[in-house]
Amino acid sequence: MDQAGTSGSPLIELRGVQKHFGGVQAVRGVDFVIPAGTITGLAGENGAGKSTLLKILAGLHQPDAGEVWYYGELQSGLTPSLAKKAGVAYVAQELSLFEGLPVSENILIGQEPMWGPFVNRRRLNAEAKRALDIVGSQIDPDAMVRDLAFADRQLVEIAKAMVGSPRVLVLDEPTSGLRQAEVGRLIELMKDLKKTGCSVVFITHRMGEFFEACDRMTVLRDGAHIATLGIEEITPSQVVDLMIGRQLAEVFPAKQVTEPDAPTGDALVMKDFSVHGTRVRAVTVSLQRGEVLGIAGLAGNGQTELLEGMAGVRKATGDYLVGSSVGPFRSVRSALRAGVALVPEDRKRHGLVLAMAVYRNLTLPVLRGLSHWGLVNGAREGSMVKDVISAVQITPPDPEVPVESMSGGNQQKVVIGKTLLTEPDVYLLSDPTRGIDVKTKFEIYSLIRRLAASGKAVVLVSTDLAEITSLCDRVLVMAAGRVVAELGGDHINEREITRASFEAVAL
Amino acid sequence: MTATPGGTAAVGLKPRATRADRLRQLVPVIVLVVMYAITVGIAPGYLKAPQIGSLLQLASILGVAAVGQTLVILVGGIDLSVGAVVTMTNLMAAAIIANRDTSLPVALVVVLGIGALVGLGNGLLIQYLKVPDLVATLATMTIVVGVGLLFTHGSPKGHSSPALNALVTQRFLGVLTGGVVIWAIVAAIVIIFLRSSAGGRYVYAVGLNREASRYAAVPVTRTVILLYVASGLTSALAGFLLTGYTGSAYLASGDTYQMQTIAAVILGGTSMFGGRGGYGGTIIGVLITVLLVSALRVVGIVQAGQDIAYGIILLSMLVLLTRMARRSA
Amino acid sequence: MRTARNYLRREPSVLAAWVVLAVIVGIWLAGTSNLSVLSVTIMVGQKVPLVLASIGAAIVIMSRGIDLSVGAVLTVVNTIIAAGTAAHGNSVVWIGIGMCVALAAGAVNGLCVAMLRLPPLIVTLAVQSILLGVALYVLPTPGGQVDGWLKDLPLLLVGPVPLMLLIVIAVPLVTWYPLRRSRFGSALLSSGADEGAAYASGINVKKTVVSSYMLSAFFAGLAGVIMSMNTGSGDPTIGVPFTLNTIAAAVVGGVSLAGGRGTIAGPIAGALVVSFIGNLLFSIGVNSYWQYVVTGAVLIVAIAIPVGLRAIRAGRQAS
Repeated sequence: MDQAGTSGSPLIELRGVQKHFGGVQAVRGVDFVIPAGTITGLAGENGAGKSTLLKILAGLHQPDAGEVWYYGELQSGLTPSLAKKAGVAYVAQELSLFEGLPVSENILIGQEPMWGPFVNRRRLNAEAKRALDIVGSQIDPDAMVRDLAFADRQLVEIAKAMVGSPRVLVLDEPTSGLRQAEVGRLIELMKDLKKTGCSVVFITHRMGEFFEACDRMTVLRDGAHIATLGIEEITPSQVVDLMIGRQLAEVFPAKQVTEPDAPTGDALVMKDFSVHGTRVRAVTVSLQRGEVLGIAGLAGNGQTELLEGMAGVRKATGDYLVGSSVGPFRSVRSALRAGVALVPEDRKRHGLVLAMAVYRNLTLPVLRGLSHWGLVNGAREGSMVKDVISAVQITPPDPEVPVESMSGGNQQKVVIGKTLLTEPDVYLLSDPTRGIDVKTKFEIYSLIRRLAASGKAVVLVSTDLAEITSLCDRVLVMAAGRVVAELGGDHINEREITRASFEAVAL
Repeated sequence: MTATPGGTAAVGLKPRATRADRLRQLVPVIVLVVMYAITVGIAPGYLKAPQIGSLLQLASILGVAAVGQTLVILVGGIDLSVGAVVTMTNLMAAAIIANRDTSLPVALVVVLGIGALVGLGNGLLIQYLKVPDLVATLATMTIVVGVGLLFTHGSPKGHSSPALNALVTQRFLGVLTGGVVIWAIVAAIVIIFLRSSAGGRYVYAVGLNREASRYAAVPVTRTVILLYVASGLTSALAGFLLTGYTGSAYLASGDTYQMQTIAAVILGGTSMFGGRGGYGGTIIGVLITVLLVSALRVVGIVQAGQDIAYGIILLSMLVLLTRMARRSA
Repeated sequence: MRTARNYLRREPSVLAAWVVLAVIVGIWLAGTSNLSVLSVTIMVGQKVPLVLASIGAAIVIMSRGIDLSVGAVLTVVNTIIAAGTAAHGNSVVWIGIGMCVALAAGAVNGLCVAMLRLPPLIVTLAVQSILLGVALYVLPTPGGQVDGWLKDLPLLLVGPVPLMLLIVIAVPLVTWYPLRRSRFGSALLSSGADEGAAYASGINVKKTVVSSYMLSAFFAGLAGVIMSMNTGSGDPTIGVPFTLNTIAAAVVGGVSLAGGRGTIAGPIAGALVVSFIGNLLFSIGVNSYWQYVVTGAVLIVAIAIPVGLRAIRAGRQAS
């Protein structure tokens, strides 16, 4: 594809950049150019490699292979502070402000104007105010970050990047919390920068922002560069196509016919379900036995929190019936008793106690049932563990090793095995195949299908559209904590799901 | 012996020990053996029954008090109220017993009740009011000290009874006393609890990863609170035994136990961060502590020197164990 | 002043602490008769050590640490001055030596925590034991002496105002105020809030942490010097209640134990609150042993209030 929209020599160039994490290739052989005086949008699905690419560009990650060029000079040993000194300012998705310090000190931290040994307060505030004006924020530089709303914090983070007049502004999802007017101001800022010959590259999930701000767009898919086009050459619909158009290489197990004597009927009914402390509101869903329900949508829109509310990890309100048990559940224990179990999204922090042995992780939720007078029945535990290990094919089949010594895929199998042992009627799976090798993924898919066939109900949250479309009987799309679409039958395809996710967000 | 992360099992499956675990188990034993050898070299009397007996006597009281501290540290917390509870139960027991054997049961029940109450207070503060364990136990410590002073009006009264004195100080089989037997029983209960019971597994799981334990339906709140109650109970029991050992009560009699219980747990190889170690290690730590104090006294080093030596050894052990654990992790 | 108003808005806990102090002092004044200039002067002098020690404790807490050796540093300095002066006279020399020991202790604390990554709780506990041992060795029983002119300082008046009052106002102004206004101020708070982010912003976290423990020891040492002036002698057990009291002072003063936020004005008020508890109880005729119970309860309440407020706020937001 052509690299379009150039004007003069490029400010930044990435050539053949590669990066992998563990067993997953995040960026494969990407060539990426940022010409001077341009605004480039970087688009792609979750996991396409956008954030990683920008982090490599800004010196936060070292690429396994490939080159990074600043202003026509090859960079070696690039670090975030070197990048910043070279005029490449990076704003991460996750904010890194210090709550206990005022805005002005956050903006100029590490480079405060001094007056002898003391910080020159007046100049500090003046320079902070200048940076805030540039991003169009009225925030008082003396205000404590702790007291600021998320949107204001995002603006402070961007103001921090503007200190020192950067030549290249790199923004990873800068508008996620901003209101319409603030987004507009930010886009104006980008255009102002462009006029001075500087460039901007940013990631967003709002199609409208791309088309309003950018001169050119780059689309990534599965870590590879797919296309870079001028904004006049493409339509939103085509962007979506480029983002998802892939051959389904993985073979999914066929949708099985339900076993004849498997239970049927409602497994779970929710009405007006809201989860405390999150954006999840007014979710109304019912789930049948033998059904696999997918929950799609852009990451971070409440899917995980919904499942956590359903499983008793978070407090929730609303009408919630699981089998014959009335929720919402105040603890994981009561949810398990009702027959709802969760495979958490973060297996290392929530799904497993890493330093503990495999068998201890597996039986942790069901110890009560394995004990007489409080003492654990070693023999029963041993055989239970053996059965589960072979059922889920955990390798190596050694129950006594600490879980942290296992591969990601096998660790996930331990989490799943643990859930199987609690014998729930409803399985809630939160991104179960993230960061896992293909072979294990397939085993997990087969397992999901088998569970459904035997009359269990499964809720699958995933950002992998191939998974969702191939495994699920019904798909809900969530955005900003609410269910915005319900798709069934032929409507379950990547295009419609993506469109529903985007449409909901573009205001 | 000290256990691997997550504890050791008695029957059936047991966790595979890593190199760090083995070091954690081995180093305290080596330190104890070396220390004993040096001590015997300086003062050969330490090989004889009377000396060993008095060491065990001292160790039994500290050992009982250290049970609670071990449990609390394993779950990732700390109990700074141990010393104060020992003092207060010492004061109260002496006052209630007042030289009467018949008052013994009442005194025991009362002091255990108070210990449990203090522990419950700690647990509730930490779990429900989200007060950090350091501050919560520091606060209850102050309150307990105050209550003790109010109770005695600043001058401790009362006396232990002959039966209690005999239980704690009378030797049989050359080296054993009733106190040592009580310690052995308590130790056995704790070790079985930690290694073979569901509750013991919960302790290790919560100590290693509280959030994951919650996701795995472990009753975290209940576990933590019960452990602090246990700490209060064992501190109270230690104070009761202390009354029999000294014969009466003194203000601040339990103060040294505060530092020494923490030191015993650490010297025994249990990790300050929780989830790794066990009471077996604490037993070694208790013996090291008692031996150290005793040996220093024999060599003629006064209290001052003991405190200094104590602090230095504690720091060194801490450095050693932490560096080792980090290197093999 | 706009800055004063901003400051109070940013740290409402500071205002709360001073209000509580005013209330307590008010009640105490109401219940106390025959206040002579002399007795007030002595009283002010007696409060100074805790105020100074609390400043140091607060600094360490802001860096997300804890210093349990504060009381021991105070004790060791006190005993060195008293014993040294009794044996060889010239207290000033011994003040110097004492302060050096204090700073050394602070350095040990800081290095163990920052370089060796040991838990501050145990490190400072161990150092406390060592220092108390040293104090006991230097001065086995209460006694010793202090040069006459030093003993008289707490009684001095500058115009109508006790010298000690000036000292307790001047010391924080001269030490903390410039520190907060230098790079160290933001380095301290950012290191306490998020070490990783602070490091990424170019802050030398290790140096900041070591400095915080040395500052704590410095202030505790100063407190020991003032204590020697007040009592005119040494006592190897004098520092025992200080550790808890300084933590209580910091907490009442709004410093968060999680680090990353706090002031010094708050802990100063907190220290005065804690030390006035004894005076207050005496003036209303309550047994002074109750001050332990009250101090413990105050500490619990001071910590529970922000938690309670947060829970209420969260509850209101949830719907």
